[in-house]
Amino acid sequence: MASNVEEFVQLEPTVKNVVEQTSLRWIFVGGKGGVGKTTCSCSLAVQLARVRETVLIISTDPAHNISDAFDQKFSKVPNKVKGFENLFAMEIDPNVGFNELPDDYFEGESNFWRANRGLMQEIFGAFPGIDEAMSYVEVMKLVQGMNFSVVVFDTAPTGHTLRLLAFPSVVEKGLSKLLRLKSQIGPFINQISGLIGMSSINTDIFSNRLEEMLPIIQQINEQFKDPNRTTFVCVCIAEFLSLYETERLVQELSKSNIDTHNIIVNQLLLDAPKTSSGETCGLCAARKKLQAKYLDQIADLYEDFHVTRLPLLDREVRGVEQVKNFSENLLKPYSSK
Amino acid sequence: MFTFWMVALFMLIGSLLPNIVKWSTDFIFKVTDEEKRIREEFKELRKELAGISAVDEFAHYARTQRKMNKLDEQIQALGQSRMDDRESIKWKFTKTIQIINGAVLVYLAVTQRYEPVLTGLSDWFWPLNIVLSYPTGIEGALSIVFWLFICNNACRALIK
Repeated sequence: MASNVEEFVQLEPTVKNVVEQTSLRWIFVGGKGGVGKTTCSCSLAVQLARVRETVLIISTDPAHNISDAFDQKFSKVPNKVKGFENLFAMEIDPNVGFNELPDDYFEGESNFWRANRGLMQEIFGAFPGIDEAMSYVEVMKLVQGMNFSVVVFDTAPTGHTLRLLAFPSVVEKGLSKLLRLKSQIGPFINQISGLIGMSSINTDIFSNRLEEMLPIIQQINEQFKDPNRTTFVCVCIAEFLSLYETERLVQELSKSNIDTHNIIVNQLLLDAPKTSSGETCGLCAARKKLQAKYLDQIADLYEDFHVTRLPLLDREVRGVEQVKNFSENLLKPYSSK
Repeated sequence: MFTFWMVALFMLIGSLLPNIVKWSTDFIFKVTDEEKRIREEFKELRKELAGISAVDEFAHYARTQRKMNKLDEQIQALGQSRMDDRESIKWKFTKTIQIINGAVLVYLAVTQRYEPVLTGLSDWFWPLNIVLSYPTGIEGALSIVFWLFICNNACRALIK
């Protein structure tokens, strides 16, 4: 009886739900290394571009995979993808940090800051992920200002993604404390620096930046926790470790109150390949069996998720045409020819 | 003699205060039955988890892990609230006793400053006996001020 009920409410095995949810603004695509995140995120962006007004795909992976996938060089500012009217792509390197920021970023600040950029880099290096997070905030500011209807994040394969997602709430608390401290200690520091003879360090500039960031961060926080605006798509493959990591990811996301209800299982042997002599390939059959075992586990464990299955093809998915073709599998379950 | 024992008693209470407070709050804020039940359940689940093969029955493994996480959250929450309540009561209790203690000792020290706590010390503590009898002016007497001082150090040494 119970199994009948479960089968009845089994969710559609596609990402149509994501494409059709027009209130969504932020879509994260993530999963531990090598599972095909970039292929999936690019495919998803392509499908979204058909129904949404403007789509931006951002990669925070220093390996610049989107450039590979679309066979086009992308940069730190959004550029239109060749072959599309409303799809834009952008690659940011979150490790840029203070040192490599162009000089005009520091325009208007006292010489003290410019001269001591190296020092600031050291200080920020002491907080792991802070320079990533700060450039992340700059990106959010930029992106919010440009008003894309939906933004797809192709996240890096490290644990940083979750930290960055959880970052807004952490920073909100930290920043508000810091700002309170600043108002208390600020005048004191100014006095001391006057005593020592240093020209005013002008902590104001730094704290002004922090103050600017806080409302943006609060906004981001709110949006990320709203399941109507944000969702996370987990990509994995049908192997034990990937499954284990996916489960960990799902648990962390629910702890941070970030919605996730889609899993994409990639690189599946859906065809039954035959060797040149016409027999079924033994290796592929064995792998298919292994994958089937994990697919069953996935179907069992994630019964309230949409589980989309994507095939392992005999070619790499590179170039706009191949990505477009591959993206069809996201909406229509794959059937071998 | 009255002052002698009063001072000693209050100094002792003051030094033993942390232990008294800890013991009494432990008694009041015992681990609740519900918390015990949840902890038992958690231990059971952990045993169960050890018996499941993650590779072969991942779904079962993951579900058990999820249940454990939820229980763990509950335990943390309950423990935390208990800890918070206990700390605040401990603090209030400690401060109250300390204030009362201090007030009583000061009162005694001030009102009894000319009264000797003990007499008949001139032979034992020469040449200190002059100093020890300071506020009282009576020869061979131990004043309350120094008795306080002695008790204080004695109690500290005792606690260690």
